[in-house]
Amino acid sequence: MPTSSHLSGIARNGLAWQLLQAMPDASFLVDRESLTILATNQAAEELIGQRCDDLLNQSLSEILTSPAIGDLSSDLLNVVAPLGESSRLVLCRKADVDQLQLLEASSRSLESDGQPLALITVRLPSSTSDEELSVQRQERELSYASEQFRYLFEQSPDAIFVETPDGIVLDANQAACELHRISRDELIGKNVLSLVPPEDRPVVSVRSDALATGAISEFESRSLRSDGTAIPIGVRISTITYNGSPAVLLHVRDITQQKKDEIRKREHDRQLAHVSRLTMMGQLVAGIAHELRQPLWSLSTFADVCVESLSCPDAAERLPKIREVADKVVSEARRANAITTRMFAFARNGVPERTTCDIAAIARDAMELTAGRARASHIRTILHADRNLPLVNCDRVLIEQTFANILNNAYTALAVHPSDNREVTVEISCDEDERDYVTVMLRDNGPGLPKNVVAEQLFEGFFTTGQAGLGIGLALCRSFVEDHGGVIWAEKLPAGGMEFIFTLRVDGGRHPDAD
Amino acid sequence: MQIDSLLDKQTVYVIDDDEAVRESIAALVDIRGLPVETFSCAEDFLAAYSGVAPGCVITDLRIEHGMTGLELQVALRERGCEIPVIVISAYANVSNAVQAMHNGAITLLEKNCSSDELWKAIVEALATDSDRRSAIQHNKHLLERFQQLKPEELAVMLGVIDGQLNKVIAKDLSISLRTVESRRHNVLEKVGVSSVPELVRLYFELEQVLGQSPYKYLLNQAESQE
Repeated sequence: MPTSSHLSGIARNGLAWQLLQAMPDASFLVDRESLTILATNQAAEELIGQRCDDLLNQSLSEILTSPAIGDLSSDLLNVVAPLGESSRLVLCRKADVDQLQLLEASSRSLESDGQPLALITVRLPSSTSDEELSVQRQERELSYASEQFRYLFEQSPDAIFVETPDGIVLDANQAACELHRISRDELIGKNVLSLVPPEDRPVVSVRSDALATGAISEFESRSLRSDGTAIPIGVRISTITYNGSPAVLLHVRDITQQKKDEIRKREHDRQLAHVSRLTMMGQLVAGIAHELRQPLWSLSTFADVCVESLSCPDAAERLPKIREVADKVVSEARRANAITTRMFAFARNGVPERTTCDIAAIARDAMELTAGRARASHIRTILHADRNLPLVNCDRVLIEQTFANILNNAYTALAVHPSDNREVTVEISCDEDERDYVTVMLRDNGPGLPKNVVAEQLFEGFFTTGQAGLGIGLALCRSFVEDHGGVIWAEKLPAGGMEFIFTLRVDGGRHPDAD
Repeated sequence: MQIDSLLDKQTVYVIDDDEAVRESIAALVDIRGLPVETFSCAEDFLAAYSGVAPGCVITDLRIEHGMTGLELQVALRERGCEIPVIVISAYANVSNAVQAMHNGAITLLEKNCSSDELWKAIVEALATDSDRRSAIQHNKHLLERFQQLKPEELAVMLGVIDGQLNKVIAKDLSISLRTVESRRHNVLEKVGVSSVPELVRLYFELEQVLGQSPYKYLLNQAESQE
């Protein structure tokens, strides 16, 4: 043993040597840096299947390998590097059969005369019976599964809560703590409702009941932070077994960004609508100037006539006539005013004034507004309104204009239609089962549309069958109706004539969050 | 609308689809003492109008249904109606204005003009109408006077207008001097003038109105009547 002779501590048959030999487990005394085997024992001889003398001066890394890491020597160094004891599973190459065997290795660092040494002890894994092994494996798998769970639980970017079915928080992850800005200890044991803004609690408890029955599996709500602010969240839910009891797993995602994106998109849509309105406004100016000039001009002419009549020597006799003209001054002023009101309503960027209105009253007003034209062409206009119509949250001016536009179109069509029974019917109804909407139907018995015209075309801007007019009346109607959460369409009637139908949402069609 | 006489008062015909507009114009015309009639479309007016009644037309450029103001002008011209037309518009562009004037509108007003501007246009249109009518009447009257002449009187008239002496005329026509003198007297009397220069002036005026030689025109007429 020339190489080991200088190591007096482990000289053959020396104290250390004997101690080594007496150890029940296969043991190797190695140089900590080179892993050269300096001494070994009988048990090692038996385990490895090589003679003791043959093992000396070999590198331990040629005998033992680590299952986890390919670079065996560095792993072994890791095994032996720390001062103190450590153990891990290693593989041992049995020389005689060239087969690998799973062993448990432990190492202990030593010093001898300034030389760094390590004592590596190798033994078969402590429990070796098959039954014991399978129990061990199951336990390992279990702990691995729970480790995996823990890992996912902790690393999840979403806040995760485990709750009892009554909403008491059993566990929560880091993201959950960050979401609510409180510590895990504070979070555990809390009722989930206390983590929701007070005004949202009724909704959440209703939804929780719905969850219990499996009716829903996700919903949107808000979370309350410790500083009192609320943030929008999306919640997904599943039921699990936690420590043997039924529990609820809540996946909570901060959807602030998502909400912001939605709002930005909505804002973008609004701007787009605004731009298209503006473009249309440009085109509208001509039409509006036209529309406004007529009443203003006739107003001033009537007023001139009025003044002139009063200056006549026989003014006293003319008074009834003068009064008549004066009435026309007033009505034309009103007409001009109504047009400007409408323009303002339109220019207010589509945020019309909503009030609770009687839709039948609006229809009557529109009929009155257009009565002159109906009378001139001997057209009867009949209104049927359901009893118990709900009040409608709407912009009165826009809806009246919608009625008036459709009525005017009908009157224009009927005026040139050879018939002595010219009639327009207006029906307003509300389905008993669908109280959210009122439905308005306007039907005339006029000539209907030319064969080559499809009803849908009517609602396109600048489409007109007449030679006068800009062809924007029905396009406006559509934008008004849609702004009220309704739809509008037209149908050619088989018997001739047209039917216009539009619906209006009773609540005005505006989402409360929209503004 | 059977009016066919200069003696009838001139009427203002207002055509506009906007009731208030046509009623206000009517009120203005009425208070200033002229007859006025209103129509909501051009077709109604054409159906009611005789084609010769005196007055003027005020029509909107854009009419909601039926023909436009411009089309009405064309229709009137095609019928040979020369009634003056005032075109009014709430919103006229250049091409509409040009077209209206090209079609013979006496004026084009925007619906922001004052009542007095409108009235001035009406008065001008009516003056144009009556001038035109009195000219027609005058010409008609002039022709009637010459039409009383017989062919043999026309022959003498032609010599007189040429400045020929009576005896030259007598020789040319192979008639006696007395006959020439008698016929010459008849010509002046029938045409209603007291001197030859006056006769010459009227003759050439008639030539302008007829666009041809009055002698040949009158001779043809007189011979065909006989």
